[in-house]
Amino acid sequence: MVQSSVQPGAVGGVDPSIASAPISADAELAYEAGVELKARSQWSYARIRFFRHKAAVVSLVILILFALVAIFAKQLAPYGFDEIDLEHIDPTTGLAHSPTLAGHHFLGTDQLGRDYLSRIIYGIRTSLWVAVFVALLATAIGTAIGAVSGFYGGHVDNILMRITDLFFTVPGLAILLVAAVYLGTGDTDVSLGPITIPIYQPMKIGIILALLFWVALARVVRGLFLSLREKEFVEAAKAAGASDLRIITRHILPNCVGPIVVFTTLIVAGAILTEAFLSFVGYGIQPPNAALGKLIVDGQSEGFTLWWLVVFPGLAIFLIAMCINFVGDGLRDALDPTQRRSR
Amino acid sequence: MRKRSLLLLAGAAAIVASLVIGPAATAGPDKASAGTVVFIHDQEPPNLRPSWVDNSLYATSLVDNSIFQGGQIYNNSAQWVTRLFTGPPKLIKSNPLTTQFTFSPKAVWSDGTPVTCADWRATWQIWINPANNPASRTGYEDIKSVNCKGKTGIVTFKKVYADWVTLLNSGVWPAKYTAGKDANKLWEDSIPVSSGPWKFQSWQKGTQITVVKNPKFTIAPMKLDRVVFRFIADTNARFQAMKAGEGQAMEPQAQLQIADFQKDKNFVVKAVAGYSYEHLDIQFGPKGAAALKAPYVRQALITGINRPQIAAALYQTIAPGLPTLQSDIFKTFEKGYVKHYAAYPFNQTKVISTLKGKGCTGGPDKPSAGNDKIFSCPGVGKLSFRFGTTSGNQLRALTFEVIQRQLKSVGIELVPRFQPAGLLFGTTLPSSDWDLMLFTWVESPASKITAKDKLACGGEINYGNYCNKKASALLEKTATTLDEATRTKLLNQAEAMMAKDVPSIPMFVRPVFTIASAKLKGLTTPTTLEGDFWNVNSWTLAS
Amino acid sequence: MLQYVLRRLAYSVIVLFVASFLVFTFVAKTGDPLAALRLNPRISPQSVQNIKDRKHLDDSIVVRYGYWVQDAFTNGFGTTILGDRPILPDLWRVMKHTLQLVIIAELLAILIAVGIGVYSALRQYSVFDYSATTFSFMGLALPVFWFALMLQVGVVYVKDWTGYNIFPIASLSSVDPGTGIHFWIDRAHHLVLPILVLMIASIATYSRFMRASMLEVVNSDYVRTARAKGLTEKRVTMKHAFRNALIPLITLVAINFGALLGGAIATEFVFSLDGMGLYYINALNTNDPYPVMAWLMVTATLIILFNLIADIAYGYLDPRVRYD
Repeated sequence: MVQSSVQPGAVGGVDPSIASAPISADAELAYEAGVELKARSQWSYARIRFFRHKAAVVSLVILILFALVAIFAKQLAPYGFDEIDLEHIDPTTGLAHSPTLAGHHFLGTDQLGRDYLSRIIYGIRTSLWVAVFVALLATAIGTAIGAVSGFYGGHVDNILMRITDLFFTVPGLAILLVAAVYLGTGDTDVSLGPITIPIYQPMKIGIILALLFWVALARVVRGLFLSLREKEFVEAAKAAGASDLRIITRHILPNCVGPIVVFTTLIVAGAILTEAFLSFVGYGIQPPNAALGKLIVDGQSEGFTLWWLVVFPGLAIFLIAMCINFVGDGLRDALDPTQRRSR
Repeated sequence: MRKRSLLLLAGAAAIVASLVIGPAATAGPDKASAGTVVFIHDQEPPNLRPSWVDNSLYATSLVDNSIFQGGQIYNNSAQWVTRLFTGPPKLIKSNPLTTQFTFSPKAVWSDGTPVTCADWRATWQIWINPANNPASRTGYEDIKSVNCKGKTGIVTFKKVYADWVTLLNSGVWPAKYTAGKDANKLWEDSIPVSSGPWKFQSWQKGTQITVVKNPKFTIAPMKLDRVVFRFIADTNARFQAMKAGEGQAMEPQAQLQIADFQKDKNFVVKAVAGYSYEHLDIQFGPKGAAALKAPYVRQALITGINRPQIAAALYQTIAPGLPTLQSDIFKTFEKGYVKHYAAYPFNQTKVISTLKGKGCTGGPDKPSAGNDKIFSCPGVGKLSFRFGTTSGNQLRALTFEVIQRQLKSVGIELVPRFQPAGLLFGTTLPSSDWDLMLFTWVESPASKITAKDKLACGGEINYGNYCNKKASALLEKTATTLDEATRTKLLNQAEAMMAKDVPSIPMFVRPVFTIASAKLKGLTTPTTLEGDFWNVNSWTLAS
Repeated sequence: MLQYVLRRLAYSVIVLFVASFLVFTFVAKTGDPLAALRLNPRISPQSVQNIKDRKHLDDSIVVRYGYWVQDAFTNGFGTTILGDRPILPDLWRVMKHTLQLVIIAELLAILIAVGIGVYSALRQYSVFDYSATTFSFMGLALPVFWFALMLQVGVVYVKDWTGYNIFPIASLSSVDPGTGIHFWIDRAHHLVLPILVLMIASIATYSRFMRASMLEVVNSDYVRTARAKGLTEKRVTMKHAFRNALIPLITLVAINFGALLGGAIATEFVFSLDGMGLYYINALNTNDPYPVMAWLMVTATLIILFNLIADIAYGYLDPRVRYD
């Protein structure tokens, strides 16, 4: 399910190229007292606001830990992710062993005797990699299309929005399934002239997922551009002779960073969950690669007795998605200066 | 006002809760009347036409085998037992092949009309009509004529058809209800009559098919009142439903979850060796990897896979002691089984020394679990093969991963190509554009008669394009030999030749499992495609 | 207003046609519906040709699309390639079941979410607010099929301990559901777990949104004016703030409808409910473009209608919005 969060409320528009600190009562007092008040940029205010949001900070730390685990998977995992152990057979559970503190398998082993902690570590790596890839790709496409559409308006806008309509009228998941079923398995090679680029299967899944997620972001960016292009600072920039590209990238886009970043975090969470669903119906990441969704699916038929096969990857997905949501919430609070709530 | 709306909300929630918890607290397991067995199955048939082009589902045959009952059916030891015939069909003359069958005076349709040779004849006509789309015309198309005299029929063949007994024993469709109708549209949603132990009652699309006892069937009458076929698509939900008592019997695919039921006293789990077997097919055609054309490479493959270990590891908890299959034609429990492929025991060092001896380079010097080096052989290139099998099947995925690991240890690489079953078997397999394929041949006791289709040059289902002319000649001869002992000798002669080529790697016979409620007596795990209900007449359900 | 509606509908029809052509081409080119036939090697070439002729499988894509459009309007979306089953009766049957599930889940979700959202907003930063926020995030982070699986396992556990089946594991109805009121009680009993699964994500999304919307309204000028006028707090919140905060939720519900139908796919699959989700997965597995297209067209139409109704309702309820 694509979770889109439509935020009611206006978007503040401040031209970042006139970076300044708001003159406040504190500054005046400081001036009187002869103390120098350090001028702060808008970003440092954002940072302060973010750090006031405790849950977001904790979540960010947890996410950084997950990212570290993913990056240093090879060093951290006690075993390889496909080291099969067919020797030790437990009389009741076969090759799978339950988690033990004494022994080398802290999270148990799966049905082929592979260490589950290692599988989960590599699973986190694959899932996060795919999710980040999806988010970046979707954000790039969505922002570009939304910006062009919102800035130029008219026919360009019409055509582009009708294309996004195509994606909106059909449940994204349905199209995703069709694409995954027919295109998603096996690696393909794309040849551009003399160079052949191999597109590995996880990347294929990533591309297919990105094609699902860019649409909502394009709509949001378009809305932002539609309202921002009427502002005075854009007129001023035009009068100064700035090119369209410069106006879009240097003037308007930085104001949109807040909502875009928030949306991107939501895409990461959504990508992880959607990849899990694809694995569930059999069309996601292929073996022996491990991805969190795939781990749950592999273990679900024995979920009753070999509970660790399902609980740990599920918890991992759950934690990651939750933390992303909290960080997104914090970012939203931090980057939108017109919030009337004080935190 | 806020408090009031909250109270309203609480009240509404209470009403909703009572509506659903109420029946729950008072209901026990699914209320089915005594004498009803609920059989949980996975795929719902699209219609009720058995053996038709669009309907090759096991569920259809389970329902229809006891509606269009045959003259004889297989019991669980692959012996024929009499149903609608008076006795086994007779062979009158070998050349031209002439045979005879007689329907029993007790064989009647559920509407009272007797089952006669005219029904058999009508079925034959439907099958060979070019406008109709039966799944296979094999056998029926070799019939020259059917002469009917009431309940007796004499069938003359154009050429020798070795499997004529199975053909004559096939279930028949009622002439009265098929005359003048488009056969492609018959039995779409219901079947009006029955010649077997039960007859069709109702079909709730998407949920269940119900059949009730046929009072007119006196040959082997059913003791139960009803059988309900319940369709649940999700594998896990099927097992959970069984555990929750929503069904009394099921025939699951090999799953590790079966072990869970073995420990539960409320259920009886049985496993038998069936006629289906898992094997690894090798591509000899032009679209396959060049390296597979070299015999030493194929021998390296079979020597590098530890087949007994795979069988033991994967089936340890649910079917302990599963033997490795060493023949492509006979099953381990059949008379005439010879362990041809036992000539290739698992030996990793031998693989490496053989490959090195033939001049292959780039691989490991010793077998090692963490090996990354892959061999390249002179004239045929890197030993890296595409490995295809069905996606979404856990045991197959595990099998692949074990094989992949075992072969990587000796310098052979496998690249996965998992696809949904329809795509794999329907498009990829027949196209011969693959290297190695792991799948199950679903066979029957009579399959070895037509082993030529699988292994002879140009065989109908020889998708690996294997061709050994001498062996092929022997296999062709088998298909027209009527004597079983001679057939067995010819088949083993052929396979002795073929084993040297290693056209495919047989893995193990697939065990068939049944899980039944402890209250259900009489269910025997089926070894043949006759299905679980071949002896439904002796099933009883304790209350 | 009428002009607006007509223009929207005209746009939508064009979009539907373009989308249908693209999807048809994609599905028809990449999947082989005769793959299932070829599972059986002994099939005669004549039978295969019979089917190819009847379904024009040898013609070009554009011609086949044309036949499909014709079938869609005159023949109830045509028939399946194998077995020649009419599609519309099956689709109608599964649609009824899915709508039962989805509509009840949505209504309950909206009811509960609005309550939670409003209460959170009015009691901002209280324990209730923080727990509601946490539960919302949990609900959004839960993989649907995993949650469904956990519920099923839970039910089996309860049966092991107490011997009672509190909820059925799968299917829409029991073996003998009875008639009349008994049938519907049995149906409700079977739908409890699936509705619960579907509701969670919706409640999470809607309650967050309702809370934000309520907060925005409560801090706005006109509410301040109402307070200044001397109205009681109760009147201010319920009569002014609440109603205005509710309006943007309509748009969200409409947008979310498509996602809900997608989420129903996973739920129906795990609980084996005879609904549109399961129908779609089976259609995909048979590589037959006809049921896939029929499904997509029906859902697309539903979504378009839903969005249009929501926009009109929004325009009606919020006097600041004007459509030209």
